[in-house]
Amino acid sequence: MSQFLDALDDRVIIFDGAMGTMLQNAICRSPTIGSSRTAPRC
Amino acid sequence: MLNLSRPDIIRGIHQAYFDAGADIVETNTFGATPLVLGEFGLADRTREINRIAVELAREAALASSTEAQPRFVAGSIGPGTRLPSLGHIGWDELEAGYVLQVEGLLDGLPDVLLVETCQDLLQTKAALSAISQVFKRRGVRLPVMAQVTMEATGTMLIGAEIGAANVVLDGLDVVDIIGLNCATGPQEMAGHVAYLGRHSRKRISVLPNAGLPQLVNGCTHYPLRPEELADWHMRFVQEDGVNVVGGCCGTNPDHIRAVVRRVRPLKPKLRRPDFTPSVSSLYSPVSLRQDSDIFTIGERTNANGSRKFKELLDAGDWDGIVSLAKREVKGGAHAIDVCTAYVGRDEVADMTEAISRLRGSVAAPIVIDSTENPVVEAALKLVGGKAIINSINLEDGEHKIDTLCPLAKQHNAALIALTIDEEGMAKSPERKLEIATRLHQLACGKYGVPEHDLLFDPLTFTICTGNEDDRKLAMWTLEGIERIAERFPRCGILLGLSNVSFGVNPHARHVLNSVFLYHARQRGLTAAILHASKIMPLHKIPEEQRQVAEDLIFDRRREGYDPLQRLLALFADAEAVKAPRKPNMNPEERLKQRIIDGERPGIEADLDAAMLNRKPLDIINDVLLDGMRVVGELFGSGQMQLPFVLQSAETMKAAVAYLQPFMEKVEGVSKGRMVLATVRGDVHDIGKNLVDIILSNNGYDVVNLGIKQPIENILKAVTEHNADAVGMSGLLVKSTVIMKENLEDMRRRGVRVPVVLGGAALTRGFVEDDCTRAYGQAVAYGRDAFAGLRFMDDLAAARAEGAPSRWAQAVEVGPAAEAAAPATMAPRGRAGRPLPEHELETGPLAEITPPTPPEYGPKLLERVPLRALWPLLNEDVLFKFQWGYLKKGMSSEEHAEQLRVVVRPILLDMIRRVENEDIFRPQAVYGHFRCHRDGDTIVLNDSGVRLRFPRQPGGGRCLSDYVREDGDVLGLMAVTIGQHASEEARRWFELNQYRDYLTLHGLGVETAEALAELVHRQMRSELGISGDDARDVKDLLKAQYRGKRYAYGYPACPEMADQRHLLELLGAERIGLKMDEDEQLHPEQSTAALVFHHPQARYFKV
Repeated sequence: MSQFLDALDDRVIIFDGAMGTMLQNAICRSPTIGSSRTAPRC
Repeated sequence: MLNLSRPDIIRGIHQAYFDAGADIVETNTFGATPLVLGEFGLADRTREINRIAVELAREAALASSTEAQPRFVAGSIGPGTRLPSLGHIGWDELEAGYVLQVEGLLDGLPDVLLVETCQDLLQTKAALSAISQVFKRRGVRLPVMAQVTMEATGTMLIGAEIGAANVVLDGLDVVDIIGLNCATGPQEMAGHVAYLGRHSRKRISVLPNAGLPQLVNGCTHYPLRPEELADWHMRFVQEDGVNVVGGCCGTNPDHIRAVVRRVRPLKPKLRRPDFTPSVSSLYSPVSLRQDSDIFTIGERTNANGSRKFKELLDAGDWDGIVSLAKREVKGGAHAIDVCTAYVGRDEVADMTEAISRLRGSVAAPIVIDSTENPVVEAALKLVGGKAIINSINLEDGEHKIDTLCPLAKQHNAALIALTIDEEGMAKSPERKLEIATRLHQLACGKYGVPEHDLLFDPLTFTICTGNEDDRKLAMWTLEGIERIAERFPRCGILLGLSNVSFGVNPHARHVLNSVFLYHARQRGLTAAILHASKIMPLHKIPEEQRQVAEDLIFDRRREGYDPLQRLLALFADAEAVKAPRKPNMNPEERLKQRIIDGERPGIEADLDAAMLNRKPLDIINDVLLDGMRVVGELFGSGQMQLPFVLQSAETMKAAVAYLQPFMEKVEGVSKGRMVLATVRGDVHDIGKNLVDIILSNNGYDVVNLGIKQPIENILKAVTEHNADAVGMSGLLVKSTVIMKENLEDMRRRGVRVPVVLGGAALTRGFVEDDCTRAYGQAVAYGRDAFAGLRFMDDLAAARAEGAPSRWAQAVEVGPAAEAAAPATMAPRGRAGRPLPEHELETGPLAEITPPTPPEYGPKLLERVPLRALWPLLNEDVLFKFQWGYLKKGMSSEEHAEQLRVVVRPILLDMIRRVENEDIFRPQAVYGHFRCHRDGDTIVLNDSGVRLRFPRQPGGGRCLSDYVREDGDVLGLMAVTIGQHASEEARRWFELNQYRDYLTLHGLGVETAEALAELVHRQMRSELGISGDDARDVKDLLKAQYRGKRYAYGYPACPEMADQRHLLELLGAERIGLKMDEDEQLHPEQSTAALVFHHPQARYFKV
């Protein structure tokens, strides 16, 4: 059905599912992005 | 929004993960449904935001792809902010929002769609339904992953178990991969992963958090290190056959890098999933193939079959309907049939209201019973579990099937198929099979309904009319069952059982139904719609009744014998139903039974009635106390568990409180008075308070002095209150020594008051020998709270007879006993007495290179989230030993069922209460310290503190042996759940909320233990030795990990005074933890320990 499922047949797939954490870290590092509403306290 | 405003950041994150070796990344679209974006005024940009997010990830993927390692993009679809099963949002609105998001994602050309962080199975189904719709409209099909989030409590936020999630997702064709992500770390997920490994027929994905976030020295910190995550994933792949691994919150490219390093060479274990056809409530799965039973569907929530239900529906009494359904489930129904078809009412509206109420309140799958397709569809949009549709047939041709089968597929529902076609209902076995074959062809062949989701109803008709045409109908139904079972062995077969006996009186019906059910099961029946509690096992039916019922079913008429006439005659005078017990009792009998059953609601009416015949005092003495006597006997003989004793005591308390205003004077009610105290130096009062509860609700006065009571206070109270007896309590081993010293003191002062001693560290021998000698008078051993009652009853009986009590008589005092505490524990040494050989630890210890912690010195965990602790609760100890739900004569299966059905819900309720009312406030201090061994002493290098330990007599082990002479690392830890927990427990006790008090106290003790377990696990992780941790929490709680944790007060480290050093080094005052002059920790639910990393560390006696 797809190249992804073919790859899955072949091996263990390694998946990043931490976009939220990475974004939070990025926002913490850069005061120029985000807003007072979205920027977490770091 | 950053997808649009700062694509460089998003692209950079994707790139970092691809650089770390990830095969696939998720898009930044977790909250990109119009429902969530609408909160920011961005709903109209839903498609654009989703498309661009995929394109950004795609750019990074293309840049990193090689022929050997193609990189992929998963379009992330999050749970949104509203839970449909709680009524926050309706299916149609939710699904429409997801449709828009999926359209946008597909515009960007992702490789996979990921429905993730699902907290409510109804929300998950809505998202998946949206995906199916868009796929169908566009003519495309991408792989779909569906990942649920299991909270630290072991269920999804909505309460669903992993088994329920598996049943619901397994049956949805659009799902290719079932998985878990977020909320907890891999350890907490391990049990769920193992479950999926055993049962999931789809591929499995696992994306844990980097543990549970903590506040460490003021900063949020995810404790799981990359190597640990990698270790766990190795296990998941090799042991559970997991296909997709990764990380969720708190993980970063370093974690992925470690996972790539360890997991890349592995192949998932080949699995052979154990599949059982099942349906599910919102919470739990139920097998459609019961091993030793049939799948029973309760029939009382049906407007066509239950007058009671109709009345409730008419009255709009929805709470009553929920109660009715709950009673059905309690009575044994595996599922509940819900039918709201009632002439003159709006069936869709009634079904919507009924399902909305029942889905969260009744832990049984729902059978949607309607002839109207819109009603079925409305109900399916409310059910988060897996329902059964009742029913399809061919009465009006294939129209109904053409509508309901696709709906069943869309919502993953099972189907009941009636053997009715255009010619009518099938009566003969041949017609039953013929129609079943056609139904199968359409449902399974044309629409792809799985065979195991199809349940044929071959119909049964009454055989009690006396008409010649009806005589063989039951026999034909049995033959029909046999033929269908043979032809379609993977399908289920169901009957609306009670039709067979329509027309005879209820007692006869129960017998006929029960016998018919037995024979139907023999032929292959797998399910039945029936009133489960009205079915009798065959062996309980009198032989003649059974024989007559069988003769009727198999039409064994003969000359002069008609089984129908005989059945009618047999039950002509039989009572229709057995009358409930209580209405036949007089008020006094009812009151006594209420005390025994702990049944408080409505007791006032019975007390009023009893007061017409008796004085209140007589009611207390002759009726209520008689009930408590039975309670004591049941407890003593092992037939009643402690929580039910407390329930009886609460009822007793309420009854006495109600009677008191009617009593002329309260004096003279008391049968005697005890001064009760936890002895000096001991802060534990649960045992003492249980004695208080039992005595004060059995007619005795109790002067409860509290904890840490010196003997002076006890004796003063004896004089002041003219007490008849003293009860001394204490949990600690050292309290047994204090008790003995108290008795010696009392003897010196010439005190002769009878004494009972209670406490976990006491033994009968120590009390009856050593303590009796110390006192010069018999001392009673209070093994449990009822022993204290028997002791007081003895005193009261002796006083009534004017005879001296045996507890007040002097005894011969032999030679002075050796001042030893009970032999089972000896914290301060056994004075050189040799240990039995098997208890002596003498084997050589390996020289271990000390692990290196990331840093030395104390760390503060200011607030540990409670949800991080619940998975580490030792439920076995909590349920059996803290709460008293012992097996007590039950079979193992019965006890397991009690723990599952009764006790675990109590735990979940108490957890909710503790969280909502902020009762526990877990905090910890811990740290790694440089040290070295100096003989039997461990020296902490930086502070110079010396910790001394006893050595086993005969050259055995000493704790210091586990530390190297040339330098090592020792862990110290101290944890508490806070003072507020003790204060709240005390308040509940004073409010006479006995069961809640016991429950809270026990949960507090075990939560402190769980906290110690969590901190210990974290310390192992920091030392890099957690790779040896057992993956199953149950095994972890049995100390299956590298190293050991030793709390002060146990034989290997008895020097309680040394605990001061530990607290000072850790700065334990920062968490409000201190040690008093009696070497007791405050708050009560606290513990401190030494942590050794040596792999050969063992617990040993000294």
